[in-house]
Amino acid sequence: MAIQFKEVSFSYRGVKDQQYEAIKDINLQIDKGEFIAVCGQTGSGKTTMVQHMNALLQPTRGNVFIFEHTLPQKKKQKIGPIRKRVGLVFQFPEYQLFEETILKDIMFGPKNFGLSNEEAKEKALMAAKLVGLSEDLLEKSPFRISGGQMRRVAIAGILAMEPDILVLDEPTRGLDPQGSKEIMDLFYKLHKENDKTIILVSHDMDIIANYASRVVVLDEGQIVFDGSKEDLFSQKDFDSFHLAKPKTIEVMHYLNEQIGIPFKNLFSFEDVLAYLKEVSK
Amino acid sequence: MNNIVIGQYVHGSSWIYKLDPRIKISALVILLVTTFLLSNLFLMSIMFGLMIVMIFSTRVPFLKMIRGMKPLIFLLTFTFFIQIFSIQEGNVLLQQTMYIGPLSVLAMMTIVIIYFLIKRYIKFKIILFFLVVFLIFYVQAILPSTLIGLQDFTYEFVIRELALQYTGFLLLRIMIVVMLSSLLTFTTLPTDITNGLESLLRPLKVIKFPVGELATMLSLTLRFIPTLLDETQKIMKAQASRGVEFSESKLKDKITQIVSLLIPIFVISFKRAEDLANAMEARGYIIGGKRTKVDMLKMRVFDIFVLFVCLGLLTTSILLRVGVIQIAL
Repeated sequence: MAIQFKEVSFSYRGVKDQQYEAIKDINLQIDKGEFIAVCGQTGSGKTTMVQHMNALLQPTRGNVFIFEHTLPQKKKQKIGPIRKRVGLVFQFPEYQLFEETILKDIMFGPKNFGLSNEEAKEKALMAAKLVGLSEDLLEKSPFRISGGQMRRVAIAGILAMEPDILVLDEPTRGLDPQGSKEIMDLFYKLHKENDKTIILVSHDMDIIANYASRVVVLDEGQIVFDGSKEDLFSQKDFDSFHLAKPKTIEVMHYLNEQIGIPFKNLFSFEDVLAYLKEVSK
Repeated sequence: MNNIVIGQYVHGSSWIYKLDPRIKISALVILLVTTFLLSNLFLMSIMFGLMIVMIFSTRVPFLKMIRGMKPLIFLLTFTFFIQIFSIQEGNVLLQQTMYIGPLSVLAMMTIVIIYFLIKRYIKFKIILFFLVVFLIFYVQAILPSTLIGLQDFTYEFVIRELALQYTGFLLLRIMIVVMLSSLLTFTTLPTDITNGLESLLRPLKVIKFPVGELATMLSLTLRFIPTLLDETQKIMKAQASRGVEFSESKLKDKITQIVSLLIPIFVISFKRAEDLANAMEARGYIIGGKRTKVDMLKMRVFDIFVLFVCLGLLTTSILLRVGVIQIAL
């Protein structure tokens, strides 16, 4: 077990000391090696929940267990070890870049966790390779490359810390379809080959359907669904989640209605094609 | 961090909220001038009393206003001692020989060290502060080093009536200035203040002073403070996930940390500024162009009345100052 939420609530303090509960009584267990998607409407508490996994926020009620650590922490406890094991990629991570060269920026994280210059450089080069940044880019300024590449640099900066768990807050937001696919394929590869646990926050149901195996749906700060994606899209009260269905499922529904091809939950167009070939035989 | 209130505006609905911001700004200036024209403690007390009555009638949270005076306490204490030592006339109220020597210096240092040690655990910091100041002087009076057989440097600590009077006078004056100014910021939205200022400064247009642009700049700045704070929060969190611990670290690391925060903020600000400039231009904003306002400022009878009351106070104080009116003390 990697991360566990036990009746976790978090409230923000608004004007005049009113409490505004962003998440309520969250119970969630995430095991090693999972690929989980978290979705829900804007303001449903996704980001708040995810920030607990990195100890950026401490629960106001309940406990979060991250490996051997427990939140809320005592005052003197260090947060560093948690953040080293759980890497959080923020929305628009390209805004966090600041160093003179791309390499230095990727090295920033590892160095903060106490690695020497050489070690950090080694990790940075590895991470740069993982995200597909060519070596001649590394000495350039991070402000002189394209938005998509900046995002890769930012992601490499997190990967260089070699976290066991990667938390991604809308990693594809603001990218074109091609860029989104590349980034998501990268995370999928990390998940498959390096056995990283991935927690993905996203609005995009196509991406979720394509990559995640388990889906958690939040609504008004509470978990309303937690299960496999197959179960999610065949839920009777699916409409109450205010989510769209992935395109493949819509296509399958359409084909079912129009020409009576039996409906099947499929999540990639390759699978749809294979299935159609099989049916038409 | 979503609900940052800029300035100290406190929501309310008493008469002062309904005043025209131009009148409020002018009234503040007039009352401040009045305060500085008053020349003795008696008049200052009257002025202070008037102000307290006014503050209560506006139903602004009084405690909050008092809390805003906290940073002044050190300054006021300091002024008090300067006055005591510099004014050497008038009736003597208290006279005491003070000893500065090894023993008392040691005692004073102990008190200061204890103060800094227990400061963070104590709730009533102000009371503690006064207690410490008192103790520092008290040990000078009761601990001559002859007790342990050493020589002392001695001086006379004299509190005179005039010094007390003058300190009180200064104290009241500072308090009036601070409280009146905070009354304006407590009861006026920053946008209203800018609008008021723009309108008041309009005559300067004659000498080609860019009043309108200045007001736009001011209101844009105010508008973007929460946005930038929000962005700063985000960047801080992002860098925290990269292992930056903003609270606990050495000075050398602190510098890198601040850079890791400042550069992204600069980048974001420039980007925002560019977007904003484009958006404004796309909607036809021209620098120096003629503009209309959504909120027109309108003066009412009550506004004029308030202005006349303030002017009346000013006139009285001028007349008192030049000696046309005299009060018997």
